[in-house]
Amino acid sequence: MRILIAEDHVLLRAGLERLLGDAGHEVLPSVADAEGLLRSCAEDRPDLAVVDVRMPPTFTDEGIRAAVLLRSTRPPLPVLVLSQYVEERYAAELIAGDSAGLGYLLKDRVAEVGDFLTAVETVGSGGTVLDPEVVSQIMIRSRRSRDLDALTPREREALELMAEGRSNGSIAERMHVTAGAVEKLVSAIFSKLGLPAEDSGHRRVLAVLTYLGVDARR
Amino acid sequence: MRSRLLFLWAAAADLALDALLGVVWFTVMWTLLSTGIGLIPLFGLGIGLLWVTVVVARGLRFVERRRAEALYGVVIVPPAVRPAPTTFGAWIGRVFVDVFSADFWKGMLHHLATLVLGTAFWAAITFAVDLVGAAVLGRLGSVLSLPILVVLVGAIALAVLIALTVGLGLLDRQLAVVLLGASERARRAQLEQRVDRLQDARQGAVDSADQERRRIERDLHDGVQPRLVSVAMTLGMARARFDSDPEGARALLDEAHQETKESITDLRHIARGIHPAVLADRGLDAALSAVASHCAVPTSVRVDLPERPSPEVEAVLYFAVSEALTNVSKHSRATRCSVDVTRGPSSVRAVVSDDGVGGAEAGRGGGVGLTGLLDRVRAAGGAVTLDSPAGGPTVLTVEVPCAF
Repeated sequence: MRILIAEDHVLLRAGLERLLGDAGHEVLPSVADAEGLLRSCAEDRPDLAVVDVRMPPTFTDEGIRAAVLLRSTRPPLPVLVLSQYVEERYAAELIAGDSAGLGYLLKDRVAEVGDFLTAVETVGSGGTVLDPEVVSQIMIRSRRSRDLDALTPREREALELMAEGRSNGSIAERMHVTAGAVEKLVSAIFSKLGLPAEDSGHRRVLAVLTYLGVDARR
Repeated sequence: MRSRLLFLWAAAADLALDALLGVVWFTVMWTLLSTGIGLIPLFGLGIGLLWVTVVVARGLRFVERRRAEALYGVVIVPPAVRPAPTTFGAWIGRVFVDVFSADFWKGMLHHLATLVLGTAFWAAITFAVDLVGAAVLGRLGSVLSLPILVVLVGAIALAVLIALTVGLGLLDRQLAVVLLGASERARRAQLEQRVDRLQDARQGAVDSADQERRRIERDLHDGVQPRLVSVAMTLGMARARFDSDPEGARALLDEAHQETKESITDLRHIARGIHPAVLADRGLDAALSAVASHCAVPTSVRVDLPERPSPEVEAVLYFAVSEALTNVSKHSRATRCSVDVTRGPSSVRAVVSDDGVGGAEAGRGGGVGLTGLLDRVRAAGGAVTLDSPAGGPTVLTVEVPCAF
């Protein structure tokens, strides 16, 4: 893939360039602020932008705002947002109706090289990746907490993994069960929550997130 | 000279008004009061009317204060207002307390005084005009009706009148300050109380900052630093084995990798403890939900504020709730916990409740966190109440004054 990195921290930027380069991606000249990111995306149209939330000049959330802008273009540009802390509100702003080609991870996850590269692949190919921390916040704030009480602990775990954007295979690996067992869990969850059965892919993630009440309008 | 002239005019205007207003106010008040007291046997009516009396009296005192301030240019510090009663019984009690209060009767006295002063002023004017008129008409004996003497009498009458106006005006001004304002003693007590409160808050700020610094130092020194040292050691060992025992070296590298990631997580938590960036970016709601998601007990968060309070207030509430949730995680053995942040008339209130074993106390056995919480809230001039009977449930309420 052709990847653009927007990160103001020199060390981390160099690290990301090397990491993605070693994995066989083409890394475009990196940018260090939101303005450069938007300009570069308009000119070079990369396959994926990796964006840090805190960038100059204000070091608050311009990365998020730039990402929201990039997602509103047609077709939306896949964006992987990295942040020193994750926040459900930011996730809601990013998703805002469509979670295709969206990643939102803690910066620290870069240290898990394998997982990080998988996330890059997933987002670049139109999938969704949400940090487990965000998902646990979403679960807490969900206005459906009473319905969620009806789930067994295993089902709840599977639901959280689904909300992170994982495929059935990945969920099976995480929970140390067979793919068949995951399918059973997933269909049980969907019927308990009264959701239309979506087999996999980002439409499933969207259905789950919408159900949990991730709503940018709050 | 100019200001003296102004005072003369102001005093004349005020005294002229006094006669009219004094009569009206005093009559109104007296009628209300006597009717109210007379109707007390008809319980509800009498009390209701007395309440009206008290309210009208308060309104009139306000009007009179403004009038004195406007005409004489004095500043009258109003007496301290007692907090409004909350229950019906307290309300009835308050009506009686107010009717017997010094402020009420000082107000009545003021109306009476203005009535007297105003009347005296008008009487003096009438008398002076009559005197001069009589002199002109020669009723005071033929010698006194000589033009030169009439002018003289007029001049003397005018001088006396001016002196009287100034005198009465000064008296009126002084009476307004004394009868309508807070007494010197009450004012001093108020100030002393404020100084005490501020001293207490300052001490709280110093204590909590001190504790905070110690905590950060401890977290870095006992948490992250040894971890990083151990990472460096593990890497050193892996390098030494790199050629002789590649398998062992790989295992050590894995270990170092794991240790590093744990250090990163530690650092993130420390940074959040020092200054949660999300609080500045997105406010209490977002920041508290992040804290709640780390709580060992399932926690629901509800923040219901019309707008964001000041950053200081947000910070105090954030740290108080964080501390409370840490305690819930460690000691409560609860199955559910809830955080509610709502707005009071002039404050923000956070209520953290859990269904755990209770018995939480500040200052003893593991209460260091609670003490820190108290210091921090005290520094903001707020208050903490902790209700935690043995056996639970525990309810911690933090209230911080805040003007929206």
